[in-house]
Amino acid sequence: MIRKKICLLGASAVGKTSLAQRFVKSIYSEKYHTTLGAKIDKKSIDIDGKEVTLLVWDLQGEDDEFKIRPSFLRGASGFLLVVDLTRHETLVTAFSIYKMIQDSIGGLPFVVLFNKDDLTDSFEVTQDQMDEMKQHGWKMLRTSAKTGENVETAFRLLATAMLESDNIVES
Amino acid sequence: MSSNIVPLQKKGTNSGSSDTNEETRSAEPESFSGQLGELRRLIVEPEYRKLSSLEEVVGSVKEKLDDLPTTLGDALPSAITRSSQKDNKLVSATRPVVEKSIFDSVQRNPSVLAEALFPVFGPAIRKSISEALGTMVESLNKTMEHSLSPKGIGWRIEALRTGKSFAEVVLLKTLLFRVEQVFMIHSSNGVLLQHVESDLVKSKDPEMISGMLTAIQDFVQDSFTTEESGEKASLGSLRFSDFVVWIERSPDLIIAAAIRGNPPLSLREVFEETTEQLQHQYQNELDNFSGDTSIFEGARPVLLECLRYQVGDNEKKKKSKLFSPFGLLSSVLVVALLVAGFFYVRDWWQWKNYLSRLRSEPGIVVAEQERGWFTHSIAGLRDPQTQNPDELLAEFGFGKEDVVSNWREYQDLSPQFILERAKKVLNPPANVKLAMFEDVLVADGDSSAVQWFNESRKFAPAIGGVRDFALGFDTLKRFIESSTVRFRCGTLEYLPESQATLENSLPAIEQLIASGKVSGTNQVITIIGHYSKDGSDQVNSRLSAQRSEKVRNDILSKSPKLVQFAGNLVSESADDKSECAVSLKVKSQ
Repeated sequence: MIRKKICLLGASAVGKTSLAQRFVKSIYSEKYHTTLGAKIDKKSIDIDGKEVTLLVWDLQGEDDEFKIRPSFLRGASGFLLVVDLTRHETLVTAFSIYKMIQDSIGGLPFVVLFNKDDLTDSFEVTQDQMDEMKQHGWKMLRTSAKTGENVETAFRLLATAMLESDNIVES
Repeated sequence: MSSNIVPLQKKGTNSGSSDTNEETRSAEPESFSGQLGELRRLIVEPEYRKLSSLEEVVGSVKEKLDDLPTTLGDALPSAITRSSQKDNKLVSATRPVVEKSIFDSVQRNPSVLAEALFPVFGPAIRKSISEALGTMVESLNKTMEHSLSPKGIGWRIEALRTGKSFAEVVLLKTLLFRVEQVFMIHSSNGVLLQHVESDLVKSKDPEMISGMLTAIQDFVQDSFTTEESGEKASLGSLRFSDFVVWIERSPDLIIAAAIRGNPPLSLREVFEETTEQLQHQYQNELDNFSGDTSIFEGARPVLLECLRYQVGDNEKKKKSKLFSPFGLLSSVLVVALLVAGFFYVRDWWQWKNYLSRLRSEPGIVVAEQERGWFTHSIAGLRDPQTQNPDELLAEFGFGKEDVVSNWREYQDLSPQFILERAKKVLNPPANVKLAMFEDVLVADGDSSAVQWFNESRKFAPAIGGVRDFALGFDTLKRFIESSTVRFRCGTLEYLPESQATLENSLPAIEQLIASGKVSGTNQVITIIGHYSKDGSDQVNSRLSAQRSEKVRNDILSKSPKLVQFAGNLVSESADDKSECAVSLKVKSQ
């Protein structure tokens, strides 16, 4: 049994929670976000015959008034960074979160999710920007909580990256 | 550094290159050939030799210096040991260095020393806590002194009885608890490493719970750690009304226990020790944890050990008390005691009745009696005429084997017994009545009684309780008054039977008068002479007087006893022309 902690991060209202909702098992309600700042969900995946259980720490969105609690990031093996395609500032926030993690923990596998892919008319983040980021080695996916597009893939991608990273470390 | 002696060069050349000269260091220089060379050698050789030996020395010193780290490394431990055995100079010399090093280490990264010292802290802290707890218990004791609930009183009694302090008993008594789940969590990321639960519990997703618990811990730490103290606030327990979650921390582990009820403080130690043990056991795996939780499988037995529970002595015990072995035994005992008690009382009652019957029975004297556990004993006297006391036993519920009896025979001297005895011995005829007047046996009957009396008289004193045997007054009177002494008519001659009649009457007369005296009456026997109508009156009247006189004299002469009572014999004559006889009349005065 492989268990890993991952964090689900991003600005407020990027759709982190709706994204996860359909694909994770949850026993805790939304209120934990506002009270504790975190909500724990569980996602089980089969990677090459290995059963991997992801403990998804769905953290309260970051904005000007609220910064992510660093202690919640402790011990994470990887993270999912969520960006709202319809609001450019969420990309900026995502980047600052990324920097923060790099500075404190550094070198964790991550996947960036560009969410709300269904709202095709309102995109503020351009494909070019996304391609540029890909150049820097960022793994990314376009997702939609509404349609379920790429959500399962996102988890799988991150899990695979984390296992690979383990293997590298071990060898 | 290389010490090179620049060997003597060939004339004109002076390369000075150390590389080529190294090989020729100890060989004869070329320039010693030839006569000039010989001269040179002569002059230079001593210096040369000095120099080359110096070079050897320097070379060996260099070697030693190169080896210094190794040799010093070998020599240093023993040097230190020797020094510390000798005195404390080394200790004081190194102290500032050590102190500064510790400071340095703590400043750089406190967790290094904290981790190193963690196994030490645990026992030390526990010890100080238990001491603190001891004093706490003492003060708790004092505050509880005023609680006066019935339960409290019961517990107080138990405290006195067992020698524990009251507070201890209280803490012990509130023991209803069950450890329902135990979580073994990696403290850095909240990942669940192992989880055990008791059979009666279906836990919600333990993986998520572990994460949440860790998040809460982090939250508490972030919120309540003060900058000044630097002490990290950490959650020790979450307490609800009948539920508690205990959280034990070690550098890399969190052990959380979900406990229903009221666990005793002693249980906390179990978790502390478990945490320490697991931290130590899995130190490596915890440091290098990458998500594979199967490596912690070996911790399961230890965690299962923690799933303890204890049922309190309140409700549950009451229900089963009747059917517990102890309950059954005690109820059997109670029943046995009741039965035994019943039989005991019944036996007591029966014996009491038996004794009172015996005591009320005339002719039976109970001298001793004893009521034992299985047999009783009784001893006394009984008159043979009474019923055998042993035969009465059955009537009162005793068998002959239950009672050891020892009855001796005696003669009861109460009147009824004497009479019975007398009847047996004397065998009176049917018309005789016997009675006791004090110790005198008195017989009453008609004339035939008198004869029987005369015959039986001699046996009477042999009868226990009979001092004297006498005829009753009426019998005597009748008898005497029937003893008519007949004469031949016209003469003073007795008829043939009259002598006997007279003689037979004597005892009666004696008795009559004597008993009269005893009873305080004066019995006067009037001896009355009669004459018949035949013959002359003048002769006859003289005859009657003579007759009575004769009888009187004969009585007195035949019965010496009556002489003293002569006054009680009065002769008379009657002019009734009835018979040629003398009749006797008894009068009481």
